[in-house]
Amino acid sequence: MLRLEGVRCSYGAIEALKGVDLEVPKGTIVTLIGSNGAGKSTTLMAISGLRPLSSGSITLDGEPIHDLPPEAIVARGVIQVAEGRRIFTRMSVRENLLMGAFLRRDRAAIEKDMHHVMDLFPVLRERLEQNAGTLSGGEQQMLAIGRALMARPRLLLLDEPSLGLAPSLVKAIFTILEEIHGEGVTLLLVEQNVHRALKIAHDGYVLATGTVVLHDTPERLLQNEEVKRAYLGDE
Amino acid sequence: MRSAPLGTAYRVAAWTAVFYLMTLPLLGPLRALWVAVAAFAIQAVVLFGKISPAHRERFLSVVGGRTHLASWLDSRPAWFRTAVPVAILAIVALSGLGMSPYTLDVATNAGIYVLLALGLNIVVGMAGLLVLGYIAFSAVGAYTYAILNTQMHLSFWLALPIGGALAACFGLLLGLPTLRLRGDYLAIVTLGFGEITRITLNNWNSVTNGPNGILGISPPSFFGFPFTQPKHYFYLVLVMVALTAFFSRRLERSRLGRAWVAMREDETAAESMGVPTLKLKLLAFTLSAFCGGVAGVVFASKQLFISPESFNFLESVMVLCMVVLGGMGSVPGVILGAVLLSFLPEVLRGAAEYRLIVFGAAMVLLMQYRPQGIWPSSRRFEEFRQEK
Repeated sequence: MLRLEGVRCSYGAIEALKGVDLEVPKGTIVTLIGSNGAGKSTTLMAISGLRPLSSGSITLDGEPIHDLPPEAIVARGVIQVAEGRRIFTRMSVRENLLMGAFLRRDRAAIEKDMHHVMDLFPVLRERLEQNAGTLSGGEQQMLAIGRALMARPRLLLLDEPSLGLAPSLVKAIFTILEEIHGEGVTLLLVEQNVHRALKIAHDGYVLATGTVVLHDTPERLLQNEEVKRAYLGDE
Repeated sequence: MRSAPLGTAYRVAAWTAVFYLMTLPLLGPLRALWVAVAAFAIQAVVLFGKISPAHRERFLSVVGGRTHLASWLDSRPAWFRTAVPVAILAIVALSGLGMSPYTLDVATNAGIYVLLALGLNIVVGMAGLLVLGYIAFSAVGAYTYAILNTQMHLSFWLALPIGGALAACFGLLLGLPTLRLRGDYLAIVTLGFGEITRITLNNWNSVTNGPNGILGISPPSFFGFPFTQPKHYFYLVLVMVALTAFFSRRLERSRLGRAWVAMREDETAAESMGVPTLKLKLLAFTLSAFCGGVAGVVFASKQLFISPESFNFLESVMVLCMVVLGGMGSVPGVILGAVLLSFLPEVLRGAAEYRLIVFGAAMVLLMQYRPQGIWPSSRRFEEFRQEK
């Protein structure tokens, strides 16, 4: 579905991505792991069109998308849940969800999807008219995912959805991600919580200093000595 | 930040001296002294507020700081929220019957400022872009009507959309290359645009008649019934204000208004929701310019004479102050700000010389105690609370 070939991306003189090759097949969950500064977030930003490439290509269903503006990529169903949630704290929960559906005009369907999102995250229903800034961290993350779902994604990009959440919430988030996947959404998941992320994935990539250093099945990555040492600690 | 009283006193004295010296060549010794005294008074009040939190608390409750009128009104039932503006409109319309021609004239001018302020509010309050040369758009509208009317006898009603559209074109032309700039830079470029417009009007003799302005503009007429009395203009402007306010309010609550708020808060996040930020900024710019142009046409049709002097930088600043004073992004706030600031010079007529001092002092006090404006929108209220 999504294919990155030789993607390079720089911030001024610093080259953050030095030729990333990656493939996300339709209907799968692909996990991207790596330490801080490896280029995981930049990869997602590049896919979403928020970062220009210096070379390489990104194709969606065979069609190049790396020259498209962000809104055109959103319109093609590639939606990102950015790192740090980035919900609109000055808007109500409902308005945040409506923002997710910004490019859609089908009011009745938007209303229906809103109910669907609230079924997935019952807390959001309780807080619907509340200012989003008053939500707890976990609730904000749920809102961020719910907001992305409002755009009817075909491919959902998630940047560290479990960051800074209590263990019980992390578990809940991963359960919901599997549920979303069950509804036919393809997921590209960037995670620090490597163990959990690989557990639900069909394919895994390890990124270091802007290149893919490992690409394997999650089972094999979990057994890999280097992955164990660098990302899993002493498990 | 609290400092020792003595140090504070020194600082106030030093600032007062600096103020005096800086304004001396411009104003002469006596008037500069007045400015210095005013500056001293402001400083003293500000520091006093800082030194005694209890006092500041009391001050705030006097100006209505903590009792938040806008959120109170927001929590009323829908019929009440509709009834309040309708009632106010009815009261203003009725009281127009009993006003003297002079009061009607002042009120009409205030109404034109409300139109301008509501227009500027779209770009400054809703989209969060600082525009400093706003009056230039109004100049485009006013000159469009003046020229087309005196040369080709174009009617007022046709000039309204034409003047607005032409101003919108200027907005688009200015916005296209500049909207990639952020914050201060955009402000400077728009300030430059305002000055360029005024200077062009001043020097393009063959078209604008230069500094002499354009005379003999005809008043609007309504089905052959010409507008001759202040009363006529009063009701014309009142209707336009009501329409603009209604439209602004709808805009604020719309999908677009929401996208502007999102953009203001987190541009990247908004972009990743598919919000085309550049296009939306341009749209805010254009809509705002359109309103400015329409207000300009009304202004020209009321004055019957216009010259570049009516569109100087101070006017832009005045309109911006109205938006900021009332509360950026809040329609009732902006209306209130515009009405207050346009009546202020009339009230202070006796102290005309010191009007600007009072004006400046009011702005400083406002920024110190109520940076969100007199009647902020509930969103802006949140923004300022979070930034504190």
